[in-house]
Amino acid sequence: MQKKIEQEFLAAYEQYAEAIYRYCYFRLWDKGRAEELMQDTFTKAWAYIAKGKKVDNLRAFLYRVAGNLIIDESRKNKVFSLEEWLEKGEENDIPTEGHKDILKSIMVKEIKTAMSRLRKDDQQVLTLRFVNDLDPKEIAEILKITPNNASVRINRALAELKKEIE
Amino acid sequence: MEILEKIEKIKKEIRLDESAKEAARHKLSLWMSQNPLPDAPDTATLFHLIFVRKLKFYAASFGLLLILSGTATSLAAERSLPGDALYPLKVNVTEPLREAVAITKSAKSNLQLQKVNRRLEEAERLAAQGRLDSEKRSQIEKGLASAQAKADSVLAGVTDTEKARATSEIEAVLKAHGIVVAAMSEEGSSIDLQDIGPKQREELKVLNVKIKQVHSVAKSKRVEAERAVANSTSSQDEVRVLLEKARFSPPTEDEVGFGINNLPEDWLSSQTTSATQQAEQSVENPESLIRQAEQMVAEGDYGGGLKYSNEAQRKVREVQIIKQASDRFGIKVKKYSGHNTEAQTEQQENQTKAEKGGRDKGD
Repeated sequence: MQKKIEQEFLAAYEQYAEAIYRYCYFRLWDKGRAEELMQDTFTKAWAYIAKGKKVDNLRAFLYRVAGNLIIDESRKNKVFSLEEWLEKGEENDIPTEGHKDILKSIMVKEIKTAMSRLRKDDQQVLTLRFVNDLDPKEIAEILKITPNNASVRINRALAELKKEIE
Repeated sequence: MEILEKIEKIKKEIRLDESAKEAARHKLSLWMSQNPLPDAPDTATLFHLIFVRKLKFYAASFGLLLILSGTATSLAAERSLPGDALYPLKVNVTEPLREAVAITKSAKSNLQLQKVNRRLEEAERLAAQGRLDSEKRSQIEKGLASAQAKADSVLAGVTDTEKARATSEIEAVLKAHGIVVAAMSEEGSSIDLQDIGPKQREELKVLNVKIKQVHSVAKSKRVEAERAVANSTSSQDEVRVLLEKARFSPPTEDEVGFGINNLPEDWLSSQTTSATQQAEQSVENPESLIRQAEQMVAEGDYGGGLKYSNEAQRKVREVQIIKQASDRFGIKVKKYSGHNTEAQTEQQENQTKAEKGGRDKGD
């Protein structure tokens, strides 16, 4: 039975590691930290399960753990400075080669600029919805709110995002 | 919205490197082996273990039935203290049974750690009830020595990193209980219960000497194991895993406050620094110790990283045990005003009320 749980957990890692990484990246805008937090998410989730605690929805739990780690990260470190990040430039970006990648780099900066002006809660729901492609029901499960509430938050966050970029 | 289209395009480019994914998977597997699921063998396996291994105690199967059925008797045995009718069931049946079904060395050493913790809790509870005498104290000390010897035997076959971790935990448990026992043995200390008379205090002082001896041995073993790790190159992954584990159990605000207010002088190493300053260093440092450990590991100093990581874990564990002891005896936790603005506000309000009371009386 224990072996089965271990195997299922490792299978969940194979399935969700990339998604959790992407979630962390779009919240932290740092490749290295996103990799670390992704790893932390799974080790922390296992630490919880290893205490004998039950997890009904592992995917939602992983996103929740990742979300909490992101909050801890932003509390520990100084507030993310967009200016500093922009100065760092290519270090933080997706790999770049040539003209197409320069355009990508510009797009990434635009997204980050827009998102970083939003409240953390709005960043969270927008990332879950449009980066991780989760529907309101799945987001509700993660945030422990009703699906209706999740839809409201998504729409509100979109409205804020629209205001920021206009 | 254009920005959403951009997100749609870019998110496909944000990929987790295969090498990073592989490295993280490897660490996760290591972590999972270091943190196994709780021992919950199914009945078929358990019977196989009992009858094939031919356990010495005939009552073992009876104890198994009690544990599996969760009867009132087994639960009462778990809470029993030396001198109680059910105490022999606890130490001669249920504890050996747990040991018999623990499969990994890590699980076995954790059980011995739990026994060290239990014996010392039993001593504290006996003292709090005014029941600790020399016979029971000797019984506790024997139990302590036995757990330590068994832990040594289990740890003889593990890696130096695991040895360092396990002995560090034993060290923390011993130190924390030593602090509680020392505080209980002093008249007028922060843990000062009415049922603890002079005889109790005497027994507690004798017990404290024994705790310090065992603590000293555990500490030297931990230092030796950490040195061995520093001198080898094969422990890197294990050290990383332990470091990650150390990040996951920070003390709560209450525990921090309690720890600061309840560290007696005799356990503090320096004669020149005040108790409060030492306590501040003791409980504030876990996070900075972890950061230092991470820095060392990043620089390739795995021995140093392990040392600081173990120290951080010990400090957190010590405070948690001390607070648990406080909760057990129903003593209100004092909040350290330096960290907790609520406590500061409460203090200010109390001061204002006191001043107002004085003014009203004067009127």
